[in-house]
Amino acid sequence: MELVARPDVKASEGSRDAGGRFATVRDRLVLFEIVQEVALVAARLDPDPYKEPTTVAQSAWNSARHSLRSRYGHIPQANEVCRQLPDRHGRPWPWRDLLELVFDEQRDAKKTWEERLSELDRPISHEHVYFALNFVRRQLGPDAALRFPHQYEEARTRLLEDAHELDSTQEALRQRLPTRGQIETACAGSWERALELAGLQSSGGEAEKGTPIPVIEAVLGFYEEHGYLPTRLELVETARREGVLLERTGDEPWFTFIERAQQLARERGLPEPPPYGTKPAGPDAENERGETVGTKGFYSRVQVLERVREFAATLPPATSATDKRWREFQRDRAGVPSLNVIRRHGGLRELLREASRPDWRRRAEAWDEQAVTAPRGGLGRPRSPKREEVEMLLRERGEASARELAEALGYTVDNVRRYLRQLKRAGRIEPTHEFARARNQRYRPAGVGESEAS
Amino acid sequence: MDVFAHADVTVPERGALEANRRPEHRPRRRGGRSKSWSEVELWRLREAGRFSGDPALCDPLRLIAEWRRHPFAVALRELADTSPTSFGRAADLAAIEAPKLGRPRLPGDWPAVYLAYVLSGCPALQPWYNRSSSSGLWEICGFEKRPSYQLVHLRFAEMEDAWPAFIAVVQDLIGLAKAADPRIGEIVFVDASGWKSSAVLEHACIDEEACLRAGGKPSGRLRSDTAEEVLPHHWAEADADPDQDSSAGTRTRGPIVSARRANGAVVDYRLFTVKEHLYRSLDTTSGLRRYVGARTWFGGFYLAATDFFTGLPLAAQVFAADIQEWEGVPALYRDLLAAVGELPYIVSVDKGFATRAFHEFNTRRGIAVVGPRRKYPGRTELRDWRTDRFDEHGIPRCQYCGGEGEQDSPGMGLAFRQDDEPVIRFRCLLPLRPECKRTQSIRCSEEWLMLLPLSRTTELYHAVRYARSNLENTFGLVRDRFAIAGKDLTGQLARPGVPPQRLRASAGLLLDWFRLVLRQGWLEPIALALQPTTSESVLLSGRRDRASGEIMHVGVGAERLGRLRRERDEAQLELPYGAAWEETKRWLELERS
Repeated sequence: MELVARPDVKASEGSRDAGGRFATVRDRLVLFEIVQEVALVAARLDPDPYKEPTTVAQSAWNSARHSLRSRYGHIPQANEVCRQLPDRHGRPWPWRDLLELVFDEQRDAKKTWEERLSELDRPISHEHVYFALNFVRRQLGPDAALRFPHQYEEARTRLLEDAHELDSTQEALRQRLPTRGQIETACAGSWERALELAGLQSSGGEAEKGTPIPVIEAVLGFYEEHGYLPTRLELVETARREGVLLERTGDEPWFTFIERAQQLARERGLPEPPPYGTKPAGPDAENERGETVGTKGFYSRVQVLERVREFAATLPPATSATDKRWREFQRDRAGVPSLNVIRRHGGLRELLREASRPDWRRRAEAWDEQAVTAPRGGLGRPRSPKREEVEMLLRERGEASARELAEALGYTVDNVRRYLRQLKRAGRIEPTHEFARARNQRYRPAGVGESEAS
Repeated sequence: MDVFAHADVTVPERGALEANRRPEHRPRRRGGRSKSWSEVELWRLREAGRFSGDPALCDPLRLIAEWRRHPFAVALRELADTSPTSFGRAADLAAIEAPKLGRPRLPGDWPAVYLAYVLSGCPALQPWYNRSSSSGLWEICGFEKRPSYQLVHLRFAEMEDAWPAFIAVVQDLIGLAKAADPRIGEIVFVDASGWKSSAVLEHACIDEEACLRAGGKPSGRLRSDTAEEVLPHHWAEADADPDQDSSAGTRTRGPIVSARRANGAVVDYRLFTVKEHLYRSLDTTSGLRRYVGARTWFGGFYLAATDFFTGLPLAAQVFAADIQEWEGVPALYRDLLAAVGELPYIVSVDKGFATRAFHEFNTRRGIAVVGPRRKYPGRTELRDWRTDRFDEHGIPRCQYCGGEGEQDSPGMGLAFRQDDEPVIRFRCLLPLRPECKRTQSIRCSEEWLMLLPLSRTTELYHAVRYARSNLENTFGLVRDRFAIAGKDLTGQLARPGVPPQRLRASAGLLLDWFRLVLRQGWLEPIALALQPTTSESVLLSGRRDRASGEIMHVGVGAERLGRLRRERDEAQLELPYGAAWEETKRWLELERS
């Protein structure tokens, strides 16, 4: 069977198919070229000398198509061409849109058509998750593990490749086995939740870990250890790391557990925990690995992925992770990298995939080790020496006001005041009078007053 | 080959469909092998039935001259010869009640003249006769002189009983075409259109008291309402419960009675009862149909099986209006079988035929019915059709896991058990349990309307539904060309009754197929110079590569199929459901534990 109509072979002269019928099946990508060529001819034939080919009517196109018969063989009518280029729902391509596309040099016809054909994201229900996970587990055999999402992903790929062995089709499998991303989206980013929905949650594991402990107790334990109230994911991760089995939380919102934990902390006389979502500043604000949370604009891969996992855990069910939602998540939260940082690390989608891998932390640490840190101050504009000059002059004079220093150094008073503020904040200088607020405040190097007093 | 339980199915009558639901023998396909559904395709020979582009095919004189040169004309003349010395009546000559031979008949080809009359499209004989008085038609048809009007009228009236002769020749012509292109008759469109009798109904109540009790003095003459007034009520019938024929009581044909007129002539009348009043009509063969909205239709139906490939009717039946449309189907299929040599694979119908009896009739003969569903009591929404055994689109569900079944792969689909009960063989599309891997079957009798040989998830099904609308003009064409099944004053035949309509319908079929085989070159013209045909066949249904699943040709049903898939997605029909699924869930839990 001819896949592309050859110029020298007319439709009626083509080869016969299995049923003995003449059949010419045209490569549909050639249709774009035919539409363009015939539209140009139709525009030339139009009485209007300024006729645009993009505005050619179907009737005019149909009349003009015969002139190119020698080149393309039988050319179907315009409506048939539109029908041969349907979208994912089988709807024909609108004629005007098709003409605009073929004459638009900025657009690739093949790519545009593939976009029209591509499937939209289907809403995935919990029933889909249940069926998909159980089906894949059944196909993998009794010893199969679906503890981690990548195991599901690998199994799904394998099943799609071997669809014929299952007496099924790839199309049917694809429809019934959602991708890992779809499942995670349906389960608020939590693979644990997916396993729980499918009834596959830690089969046999609960017996090993002993009696489950109440979630509120676990929250309080976390608070006593780390000094802040954990997110659901943080608590689950910690519990898994420590081999503790938690009671099931059901569909109750996480914040109700937090409120109850805060109340219980008050009843037990524990110090008031910081508001949920915040961690105490200072040396106490460390994560479980002893690293300070404050990043000062620099985030390691591990830190980025930790925040991304927190983000995924806070997403409501059936909500996709978007850049916009990340910005909302980042707003008013300390220690959460900006979207620019996320993009530098490959984008939110890539990070979500990475964060759902079982060995994400090890991989992130390896990443961080291999990363070449840019030398601080080594790049960009060199730092101004004015601050050091101000401090040096102050040490020479022992005591001076901003105006005196400005006059001596030749800088503006505002500039000098800014450097003084920086030095004061860094603890290098101090005001001569503690409570003075006057504009003629005088400064001296830090510690000079104390030594004089002693 | 006798696929009809009752031999006398050539005449549509009440209860014909019910009586012929089960065939005595299942019809065999041409070549002894039935095609798989993936081999059946919807093709159309574009503009095949549009003969107006070739003047030679529209000129009655040239066409009839050509017709008379072919052996088909000789066969028709012999078969339709109504003279006492004809071959068909020769056996009666020696009988005691042998007909009078009389003087020799005027030599000439009366069927050819009748064909010319039908080709003229004139619904009345007198104007046509007057117009043809100086025509060369009579010489062409072998008449030495022009016969009188009375003689033409008499011979044409005699020929009304010889309509099977026309049908026999049509079947030969269709057989010729089918041998040239086997796509003819694979997919047909069956529908009926009403025709109106030119006769009127006269009030004929004898019992004056009963007449008064029935509501006083009714109108003296009752005529059919116009088609525009009647059609909405006719369509409304398609939405009524087909199992309860609400109009059964309003379609009573009374007996034929003889009455003597004032001039002494004895004439036959058919009696009809309308709202307890007695009416009579000189047209004794037409039927009366009264709709719920007090609309009256006096006439009959023209039921045709139109070929999707050529767009021409392959067979037609004409019967009285008080008989339901589907009652003519057994007789129609018998003609179809005789013409094409096999029954169609797919029959496309409208809502009026969506009855269980009609579906059963077709499924038992291996024919897939494609058409819309009608309203059934208690099933107001699509979802109401869903059961554990099949979903709302008629797709069988796995009896072990409740998942979607698949009936389109090789070896699956319609099959017949040893007791000739039709079943749909299918397999679970995604086997979850070990039992799901077995081939399963479901009896079509569980719901004839839903369990179809051709799955609704195939593109072919939707392509046929889409392309059907183009064939609705079949009736318009035969009205314009041959004045068949006229339903208004300008189109209705002057001669009332079923026989003239039936003869005209048969002649129309003959003319159409004769012209088609000539034009397509399937029959070599002898003297007629025809323009070379430019019509080409186009594939309307889609093609998909079975191995890769890649769509190679987008069919006209792609959009409808896309809509159906969206519906299925929204209803999550790809997932298992029902009691079998609940059982499977318990089984999965047990297995895990």
